[in-house]
Amino acid sequence: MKEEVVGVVENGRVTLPPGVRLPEGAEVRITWEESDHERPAVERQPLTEDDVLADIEWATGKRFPQ
Amino acid sequence: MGNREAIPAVIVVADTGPLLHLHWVGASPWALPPLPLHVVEAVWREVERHAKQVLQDSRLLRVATEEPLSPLVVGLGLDQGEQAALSYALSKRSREDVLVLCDERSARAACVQLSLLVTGSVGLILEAARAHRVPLAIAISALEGLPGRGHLHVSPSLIQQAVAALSTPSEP
Repeated sequence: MKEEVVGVVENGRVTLPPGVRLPEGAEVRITWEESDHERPAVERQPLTEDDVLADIEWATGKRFPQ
Repeated sequence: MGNREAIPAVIVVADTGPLLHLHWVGASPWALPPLPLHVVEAVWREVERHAKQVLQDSRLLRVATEEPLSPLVVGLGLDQGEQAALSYALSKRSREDVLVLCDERSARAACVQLSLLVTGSVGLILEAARAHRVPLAIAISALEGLPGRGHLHVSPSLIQQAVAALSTPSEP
């Protein structure tokens, strides 16, 4: 019988949800979404607090025409 | 409707960042403006390299003609797409109001320097939520997803400021 759980990679190791115990000797198959997690940032520099505050201010009280 | 004002921009010029980040958090349908979005060729090609399905959005208007770069944007440390997008925005500004969509810090600073109105993924999500184009919970989830699955170069703590702003009834 096949069982399936979803774990998270932390520092290169797969952490399983609490309570999950894999039987000794079990063969496991691991799949992951490589492209999503290894995609580099598009931006060269991180946005600053001023950038975020500017966006918040811009969005206050303004609406695109529907 | 209180003191809400219609955004006066007639021409919306998109840089690469917001098109990709909003796509990656699943927010493009409701967070991108319900208007034609002008995408210059260099930006179009850059988006195509990352996620070509973004370009199927019918709001995107491909600006295929490559205009000469404005001398005002050269030497500001901008990449090819940013220079082309801002040059295009400047070329349109004399005739119509322009809004630039951009998440790159240096390009945003250039917009301010050039008196071009600019906002980014965060501002677009906030506007969409306040315009009720999306439920609040989905908008908050999209904001919180920007630094992770959205791959926006911003710290989660700064995103929480935007979430707090969205959660605060600051508008009538």
